[in-house]
Amino acid sequence: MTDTILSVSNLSTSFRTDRGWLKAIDGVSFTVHRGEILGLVGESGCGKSVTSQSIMRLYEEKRMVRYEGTVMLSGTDLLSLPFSRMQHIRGRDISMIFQDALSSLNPVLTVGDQIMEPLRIHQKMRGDAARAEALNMLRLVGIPAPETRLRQYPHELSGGMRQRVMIAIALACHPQLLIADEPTTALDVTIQAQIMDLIVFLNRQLAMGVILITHDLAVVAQTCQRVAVMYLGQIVEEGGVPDIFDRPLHPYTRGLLASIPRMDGDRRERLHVIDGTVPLLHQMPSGCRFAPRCPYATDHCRKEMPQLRSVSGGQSVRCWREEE
Amino acid sequence: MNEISAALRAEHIRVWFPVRNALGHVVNHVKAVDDVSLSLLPGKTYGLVGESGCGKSTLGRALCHLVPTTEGSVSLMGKEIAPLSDRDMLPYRRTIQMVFQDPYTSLDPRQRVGRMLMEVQKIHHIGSSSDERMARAMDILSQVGLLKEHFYRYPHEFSGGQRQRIGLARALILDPRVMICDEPVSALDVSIQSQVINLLRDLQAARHLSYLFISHDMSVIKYISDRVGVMYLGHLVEEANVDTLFANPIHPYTKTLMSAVPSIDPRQSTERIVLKGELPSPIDPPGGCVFHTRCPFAGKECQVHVPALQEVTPGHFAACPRMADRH
Repeated sequence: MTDTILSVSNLSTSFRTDRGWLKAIDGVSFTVHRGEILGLVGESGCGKSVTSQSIMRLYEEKRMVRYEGTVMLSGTDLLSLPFSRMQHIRGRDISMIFQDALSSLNPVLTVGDQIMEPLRIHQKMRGDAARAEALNMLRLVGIPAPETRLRQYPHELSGGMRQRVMIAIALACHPQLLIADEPTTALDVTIQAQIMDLIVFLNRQLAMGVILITHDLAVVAQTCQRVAVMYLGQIVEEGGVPDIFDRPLHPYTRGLLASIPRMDGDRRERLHVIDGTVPLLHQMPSGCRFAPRCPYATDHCRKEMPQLRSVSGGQSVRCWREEE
Repeated sequence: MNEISAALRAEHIRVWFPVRNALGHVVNHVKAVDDVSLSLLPGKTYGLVGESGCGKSTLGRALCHLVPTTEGSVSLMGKEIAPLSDRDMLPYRRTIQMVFQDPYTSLDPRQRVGRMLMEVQKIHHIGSSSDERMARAMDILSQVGLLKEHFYRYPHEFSGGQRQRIGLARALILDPRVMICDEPVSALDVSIQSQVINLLRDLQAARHLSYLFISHDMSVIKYISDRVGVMYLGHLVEEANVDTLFANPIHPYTKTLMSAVPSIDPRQSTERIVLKGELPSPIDPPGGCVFHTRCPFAGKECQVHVPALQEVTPGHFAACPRMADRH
């Protein structure tokens, strides 16, 4: 497809530990199209952040990390680029925003300096031009009184404003792809709603691709077109948002959706529970990784790992039950 | 509401923290909680909802005597506890216990779980021998869904959900009547969150506990509460039984909160109310109605007149005369 921005195939990332190499993510594949928001969901430790940081190659690489697979960004494989070349990609072609805006912003630089930095580095913009562009960005992300804000430091801003500033910095060079890693988790619901509205607006306005990493399925339901559900380093289900929310096929996806207390739910009913806990990476179950917690697991599931296979209507699932 | 039946009754609670200048003189106060009254009924859950800085956690702590109450009275099972000194409070502490959001920082990292559970009993003179205390500790572990072997482990050996169970065990071993649960499931993953919520409900049913359940999550509040209070900038702005509140919110702030909750149904989108401006400082809250600076419906009288909670329909209170009059 011509409008594919990012195509990740068979991406695996391993870390060197005392116990040898540990594969944090295993054979992750997905694509992101122009103007699309892809949700990457899962619980703590499922590998959603490792996936995004591997795309950006944010890990210290010397002998400690091993990547396999390819990450194609408009025809270039990011994983085979020399590490130094990544400096030119980050902030220009792909940008990232994080959960905690205060610790991601530089406390001793003004908001203006921080927005102008990528403009200076990537676009060689200087002086008034850079300043004017920084003001534009602040306006774009909906910050009132941008002239004043430009001279302020991160600690002078509220949580929601800081997240807007981080978005302004990330988008200063109009990247093709924005990775948003739990951008609203630390924010209050009313502010979360505003930031998500902003991300959706900018996604359309700038026709960029967005990967939204979150643990909140309701946020995905309201903002994403497609979603990939991760469990223990693998994508277990992927597809269009309405399809997956209407007809979740993987027992894990079903379990997740059923575990959430719903605003329209019956309070007398007990909440659905996924039994057990996520195993540790070095105690990886053989066969299907969800089998130890799956109510439908058979001997087959415990012995052999299912592959992610497409079923109907662009939905893919990694489950033996769907194949039979 | 029947006064005798309340497990905990708080009236006109104020928690003000002094703001001092460089010379140590008190120049102002952070009005974290300003004139809040509420009652917890036995075996029921009171959900307290609001955003960061609204004072919900401070109120919870004040009820537990963990921060001093500036003004107001608290009665626990019919006994006045708010004016008591910390020493006089000791015998009542086991009746009201608290569960915190982050179970890891609220546990001593160098103490085995079993030892902690036995120490708590010793402090409160429960059990006559350490064998008896150990048996009780083992029993409470199984009640919160942990295993006997967990008795000998350290907090770091547990997952987040298990740690929250330990926090519950620590509180429950004193056999309290009232539990203040401050965001007990907010740090947990969805699948673990539902396990802990179910456990909280089972324990409540088995022990006839009263919960004050503090949360910012409207869906969790709706699921677990019988009665709900909404806080904004130190004030209770609306209070009603859960079904009434969610079916018919009156205060503009409650409406805003509800409209901001994303729906899990991708086809359903809510008409969102967006607030202007930012949360004012509790040091210098706006005069009149505290919400008027951000309220989309505010009029002139809201800047002057401080609205009191008024009963709109039986049991449904809201502190907004403009909205209440329309009902």
